[in-house]
Amino acid sequence: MLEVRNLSIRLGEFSLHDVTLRVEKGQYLCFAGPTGAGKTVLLECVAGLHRPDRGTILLHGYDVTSLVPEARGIGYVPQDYALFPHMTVFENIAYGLRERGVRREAVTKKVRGVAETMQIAYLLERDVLHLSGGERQRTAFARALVLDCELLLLDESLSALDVVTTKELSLQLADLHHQLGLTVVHVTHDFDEAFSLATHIGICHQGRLLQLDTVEEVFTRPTCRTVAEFVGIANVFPRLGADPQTCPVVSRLYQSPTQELSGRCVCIRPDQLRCSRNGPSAAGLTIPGTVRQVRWLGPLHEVMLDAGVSMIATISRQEQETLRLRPGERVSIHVPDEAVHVLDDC
Amino acid sequence: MAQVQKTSPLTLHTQPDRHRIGQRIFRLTATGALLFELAFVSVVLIALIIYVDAASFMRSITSPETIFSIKLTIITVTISTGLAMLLAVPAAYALSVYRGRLSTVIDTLLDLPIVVPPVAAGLALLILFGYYLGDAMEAKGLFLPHTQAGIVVAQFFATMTYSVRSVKAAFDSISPRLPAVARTLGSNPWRAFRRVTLPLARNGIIAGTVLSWSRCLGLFGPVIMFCGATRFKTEILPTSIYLNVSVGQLGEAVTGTLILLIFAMLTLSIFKRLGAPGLLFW
Repeated sequence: MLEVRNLSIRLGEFSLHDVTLRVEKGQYLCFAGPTGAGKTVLLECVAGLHRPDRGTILLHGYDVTSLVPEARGIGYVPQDYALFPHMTVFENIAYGLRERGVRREAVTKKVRGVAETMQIAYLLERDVLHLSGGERQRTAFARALVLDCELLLLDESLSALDVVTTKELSLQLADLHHQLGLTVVHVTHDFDEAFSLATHIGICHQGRLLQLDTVEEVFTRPTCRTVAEFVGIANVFPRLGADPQTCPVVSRLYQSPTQELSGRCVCIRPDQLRCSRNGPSAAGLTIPGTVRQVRWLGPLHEVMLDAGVSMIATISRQEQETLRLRPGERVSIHVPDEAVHVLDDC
Repeated sequence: MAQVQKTSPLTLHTQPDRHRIGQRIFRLTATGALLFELAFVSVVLIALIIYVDAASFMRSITSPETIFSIKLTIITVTISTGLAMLLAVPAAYALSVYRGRLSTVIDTLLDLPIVVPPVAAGLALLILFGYYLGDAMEAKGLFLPHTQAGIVVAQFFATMTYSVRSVKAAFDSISPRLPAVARTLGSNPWRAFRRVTLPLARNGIIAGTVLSWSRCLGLFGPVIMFCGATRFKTEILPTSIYLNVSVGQLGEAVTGTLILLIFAMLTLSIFKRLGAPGLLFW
């Protein structure tokens, strides 16, 4: 449905380098990455708000790189929602329909229908300046959805809301995606938001698209250290020549008999590390270590370990109740074979 | 043995009277300056008002010369403000939205009419439209110096920067995302400007118009230099004041001044009303 080929652009301090991607109909693609990664610029290029210096944007197979925004038929919800402050909620939602010359009765009917779907029918006559964050967001969604666009671009659309509203709206967004068969490209810097909504994830960093794949693939098999760290893999160990004296843990990891470890880095998800007071319990590597710190993270506990190198394990509240780990205690750290992932780029 | 510190850190809090006196002096200094300025303006105004009695004021205001100068002032000021605003809206939009390498140079050039002394601005106009273009324009029946059309040109030149600045401030306050979103919703650039940008800048444009009108109203330097001060020809209100003072008719001059003051107060009150919070989008 959407294809971007070798797109490059420089806009002041922001730039994108050679971005290539493909989004199929019905996919929910999240671009995630830190602030300043170039995610918004990429989205604005697709919306037609910037013309790329190089590269091509294809929509339904047609080259739209030089096409003006109004001719692309793409729904766009910017970060601050950009509701027109001199219009009511109704007028905001109706704006696109009126610009397309839709008849008055049809506009009213359509706007009311979308407002009911977005649960903002009671707000239609209200001034947008007096809406809450969630109401503004729903109005912005309604304004984009009323045009029946197949492709919806969302720029950090959930980031400025409180936790409860964000959760509620992300559930509604997921429902809309399924019900309407929308293709969504959503930019966010929130890792959890990306993983909870997306079917595919693209990780951007310093103007480059580092990895674009299914959620499962990016989560379990990151291609480089930056992606690994962004998806929450805190344990990334450079190979360091695998000298047993300098780093016995890394050396032992690289000597794992079941893995072909030829890359430059080893990474292990914190939730896949197991701590116990006993010795080896299953297939994999078991190494001795010391608990340095235990941090409570709500339903989880984060255990900082010293095993020659610093490691982080996350354990459930129930596990911690059983183990009762305290700083200074000696533990066995179990690294299952399937937990070890090798990165070519470090 | 180390010397014991005599002043405790709590000393400051144990001398409330000293604090209160300091605070009072600070407040008195600030409000005193404000009261002095207010008193000065009021005394000057009162001096003007009490100089003429009601009968002389009525006689002066109904004299053919005063009526002529009021009419000419309102007509020229309205035309020059209209022209200035007509150009200011697109010019201010360009200045606000399109930024390039030459932006600073353009900004500085546009500000020149503000910083150049008014008489110098009039002289510059005289040199251009009199010395360089005078003959050519006269041949086409468009001679500007010492004419009523020239008054409009002088007022326009001295005011256009104010108009552009006022409208630019209004455009600057509008998020560029708003017209951008309008484009994605199907508007072409003209429609996005008309339906989103322009309504949002409306108060700024009206305020700019009022400001430009009041600025034109009091213009004297460029007008007298470019158009001279001929009775019943190029006699606008400021010129009329000058002419009356120069022949010792102080009563007529004060009447003219009071008329200008009434106009200025009206325009200022409109300007303040538009700038008041809560009235930005009415």
